Amino acid sequence: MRARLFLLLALAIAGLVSLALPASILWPLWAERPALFATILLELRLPRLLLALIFGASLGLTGAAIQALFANPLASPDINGASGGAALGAVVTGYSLGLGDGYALTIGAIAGALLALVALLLLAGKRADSISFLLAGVAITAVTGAATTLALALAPSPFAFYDVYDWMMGSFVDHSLGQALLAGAITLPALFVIMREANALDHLVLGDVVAQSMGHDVPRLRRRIIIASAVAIGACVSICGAVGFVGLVAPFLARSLTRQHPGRALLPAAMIGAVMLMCADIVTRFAPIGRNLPVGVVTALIGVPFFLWLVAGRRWQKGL
Amino acid sequence: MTGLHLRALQLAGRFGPADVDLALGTVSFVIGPNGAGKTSLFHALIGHGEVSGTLKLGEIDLADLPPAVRMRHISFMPASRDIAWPMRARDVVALGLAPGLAPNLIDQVLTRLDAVELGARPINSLSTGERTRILIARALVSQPDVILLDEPLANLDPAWRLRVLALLEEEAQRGAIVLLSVHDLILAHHHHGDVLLVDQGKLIGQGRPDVIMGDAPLSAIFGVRLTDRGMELADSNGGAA
Repeated sequence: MRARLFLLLALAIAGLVSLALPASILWPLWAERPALFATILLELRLPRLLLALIFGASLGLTGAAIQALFANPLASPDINGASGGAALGAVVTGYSLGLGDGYALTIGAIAGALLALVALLLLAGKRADSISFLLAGVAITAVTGAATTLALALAPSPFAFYDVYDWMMGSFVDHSLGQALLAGAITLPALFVIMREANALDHLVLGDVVAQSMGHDVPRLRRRIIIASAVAIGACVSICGAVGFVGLVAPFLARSLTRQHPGRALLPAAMIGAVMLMCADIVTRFAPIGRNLPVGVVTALIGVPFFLWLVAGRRWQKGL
Repeated sequence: MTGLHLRALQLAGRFGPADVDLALGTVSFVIGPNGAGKTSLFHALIGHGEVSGTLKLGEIDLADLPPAVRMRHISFMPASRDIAWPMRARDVVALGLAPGLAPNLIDQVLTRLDAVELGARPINSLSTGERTRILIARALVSQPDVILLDEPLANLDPAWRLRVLALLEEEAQRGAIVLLSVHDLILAHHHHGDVLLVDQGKLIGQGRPDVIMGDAPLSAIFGVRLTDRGMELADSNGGAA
């Protein structure tokens, strides 16, 4: 309980800081040009804050749910190919099919994420060991990456690569409040569907068969989690690009707050994911490169060492 | 409520169809060689996979109860002792507690299995035998009417095998129906309750051990025969042929 209050506080602080920084641009306007001040706050910083919040919560929650479902802490949308699938879906929809409209991109990305997750289930199996899981994820990520590059190379627009580059690494900049609300309207119901399965995901710790014996419809649970995760990830990726490693790290930290109950960790994972992405987004504003750093770069720089530590820890544990 | 009644229970391609009646307050053993369908029988009983037929506990249809209700009626312990997450053993037992039941049932069942101290440790740091006791505790904690255990005695030392059997008898005395699979034919032969003999995905028979476990079925199905000293291979020349 105290941990949750702390997380709420962290969310609130990260939100306020995200709105306020960089302060040197914003604060002088408060007294001098209140209308411009309000515009910057509402049309630039609020959408950015909301998108980081929604995307972070989606990555944390779906990461926690997929890890619980596959009984594997290495499962997360960034590594298992779901984000890559979503990116491919959006690129194919936008460039190959020529449907640049926001809704079409979102639907394309959701379809891509869903395909990647179904492929993962087929390749790795229902309760995969870490090796099969990582191999399947590597294969799916490689295929979606190559296919995305191919789709861009074949795109009629000569600027396709350039356009997509910024988006692919993830960014919350230059999005409207409408886009942020759309992302929220699509992801929140999906996250709610997953949240309702928290108890079933805890029971799944005992195995599929025991969860079934307790009265949970495990095949239906699996379908629900995969479809809802694809919807949440697809919607976020279509707007903000593929941001890595939050879906891996946030659930891991969340489970340490719930005595390793993977289902109970869903909500804390969402909160931690949101705080992480909001903080990463704040960091991007202070990169000394004269322009905004893609947020995916920040999360990868923090996430990759963590991922290696997790993999190495499992290896040493098994004495390999 | 008279007992557990299975009618035309079938797990597509794996087991059945079978009709079985198990009376309240009884402990029954399932025996059969490797791959005979013992686990498939359990899967059919809990509705895992493509299951058809009916499964009634008295008048209650067990097929479509919500988890909160079902957990008070039936529990299942699988043969696998693996738990993916490093949870505390007591939390693993608590997962089996049906909503609305008092948490002191967890302490009670841990005490009965002499596992109070194990409860504080991460489940993956326990030995296989200790983990087995924790998983048995998980299956018993909600005091369900039907207790299904797949190989609960595997990995246990001799004293714990006897203690667990005594515990299961206690469960039967409070009115539960206990069904467990065992590989130990000598143990099954001395059982005072029913034995269910399973082979090639079929229920061959149900009844008292001396009726079900005659020389002919044992040598045909298991390739062994029981002797005064224990057991020997049926095709060995022990001087009996």
